[in-house]
Amino acid sequence: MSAVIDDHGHAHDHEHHPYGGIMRWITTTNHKDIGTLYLWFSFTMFLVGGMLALGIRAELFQPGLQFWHPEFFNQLTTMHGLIMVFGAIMPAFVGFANWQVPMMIGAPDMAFARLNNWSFWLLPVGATLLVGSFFVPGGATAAGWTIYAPLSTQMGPGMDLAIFALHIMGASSIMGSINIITTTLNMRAPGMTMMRMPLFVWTWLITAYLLIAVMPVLAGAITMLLTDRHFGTSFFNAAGGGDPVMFQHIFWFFGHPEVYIMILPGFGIISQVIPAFARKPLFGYSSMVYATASIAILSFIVWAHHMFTVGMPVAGMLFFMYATVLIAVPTGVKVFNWLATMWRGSMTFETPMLFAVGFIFVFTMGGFTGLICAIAPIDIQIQDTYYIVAHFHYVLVAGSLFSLFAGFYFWVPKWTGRMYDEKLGKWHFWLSMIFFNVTFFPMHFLGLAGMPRRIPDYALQFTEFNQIASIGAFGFGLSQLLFLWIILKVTVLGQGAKAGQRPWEGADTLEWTHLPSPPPYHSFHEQPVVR
Amino acid sequence: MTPEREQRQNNRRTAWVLGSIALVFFLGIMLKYVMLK
Repeated sequence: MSAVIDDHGHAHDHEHHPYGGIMRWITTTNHKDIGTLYLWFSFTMFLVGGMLALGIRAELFQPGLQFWHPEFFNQLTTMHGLIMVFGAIMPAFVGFANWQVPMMIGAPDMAFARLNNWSFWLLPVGATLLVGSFFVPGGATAAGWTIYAPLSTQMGPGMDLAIFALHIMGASSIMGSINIITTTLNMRAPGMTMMRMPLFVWTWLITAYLLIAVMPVLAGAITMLLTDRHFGTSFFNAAGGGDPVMFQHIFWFFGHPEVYIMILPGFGIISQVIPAFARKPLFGYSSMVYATASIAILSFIVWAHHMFTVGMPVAGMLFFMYATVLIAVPTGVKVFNWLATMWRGSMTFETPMLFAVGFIFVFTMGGFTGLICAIAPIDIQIQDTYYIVAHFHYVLVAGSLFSLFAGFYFWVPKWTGRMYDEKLGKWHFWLSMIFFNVTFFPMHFLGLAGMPRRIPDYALQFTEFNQIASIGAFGFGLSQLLFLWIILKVTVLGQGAKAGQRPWEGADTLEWTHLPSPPPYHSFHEQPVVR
Repeated sequence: MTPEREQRQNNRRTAWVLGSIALVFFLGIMLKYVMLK
């Protein structure tokens, strides 16, 4: 993919927001403002979810009960998962989409600017309900982020608040997805054909379709849960003729595509960063597009690999096992293409590239343990152990979060017109990388030795690995305070060298070739033409 | 750059199609199990 532009219509920008101060942010319909709001919101939720994680790791530093009652410990694990998935990772990627998709395809803004505002402002409402549920009688939901019935049909009002919050956040995601798909399909600049779109836009387009297909399924499941709890139905209540296992099927029909919703835009970011710092075009562009689509399609037929222990026919286990293993093929295509892009490239290792290379290394480890989990006879042994916790944190932290870090360092010079502090950025990378592995690598051994997840106490033989993991977790948490300082320096304080229009010489998409840094409030007064 | 009228109509049409798909999934998953009862 390359884009050569013959139009420079950005010269006459008129910065105008009808309101100043807080009202600017509440009423804004500008995709850049809304992108910024999404990113600040998600970072705040990342810190909240991180605090809960540290509460978990503090409790697990030693065997026995140190700080929390077991019920509260379960609330911590549940809310950590829900907040990180729905409050941190998903909104962060939507923030990137808001900033980048219109600029990358040559559109003036998102297709539905007011809907965009509404999509964002639903999120703080949902988050307030979710976090506020800690303070209702009985506390927050403690059923795990999977909110399995029958646990979730029995809990107190915290569960109702969580259901309501998920409804609101799901509605926000669906509206955001409609906006992204419509913008991408209808508002591309002349000459920006589908197969010329930057990979980040492609991955978000496919992710948005996934969201539209599966968020309503989650909404349906939790609506049925709500009617079971309050309106006398028995969808998931065995005593009334319902089936709790059915909840697991419906949840994971949403839940597995959700995993790809959280990683595909990350693949897109990495596919922008690596060519820029290898100073080569992305190897196998079209195969990357087809691999992304293949992963998305396959994600609909693998859900029951999360449920091998519920008791399903061997044929069922074999189907879901083989279908899951099949996903390794398009994922392998992607990893191969990233490596081939770097092969004989003129590489430099600024912070975005460090996070991208780190992503490939560590995310691939998470992918491999995913294959191990997919093998039914192994999964039956390691189901609900710390091996699973290790696996999905390698995918979601080293995968989603590291790709978000890579994207932030890559695009922040464009967004702010300032270069971030490179030295601190590199410190952030190395501290995150080291402490991430210190935290989660020992969990593989704990899981293989049989330590169950979501339990506040453990047998004595698990002590050392748990202590290593807890030390790593606090180190990882402190490293993110360094990231906060880096963000504040480049955004709020406006420190750092001025960034040129194209600070990364290998970056060749529209926002780099056509727009100054920072870009004007309204990007394109005249539509650019891509040749 | 304000979208043309035709562009806005196209956008609305796309949104209706996508919104309908979402609604079908939402109602479909519940109706399926209501019917099974």
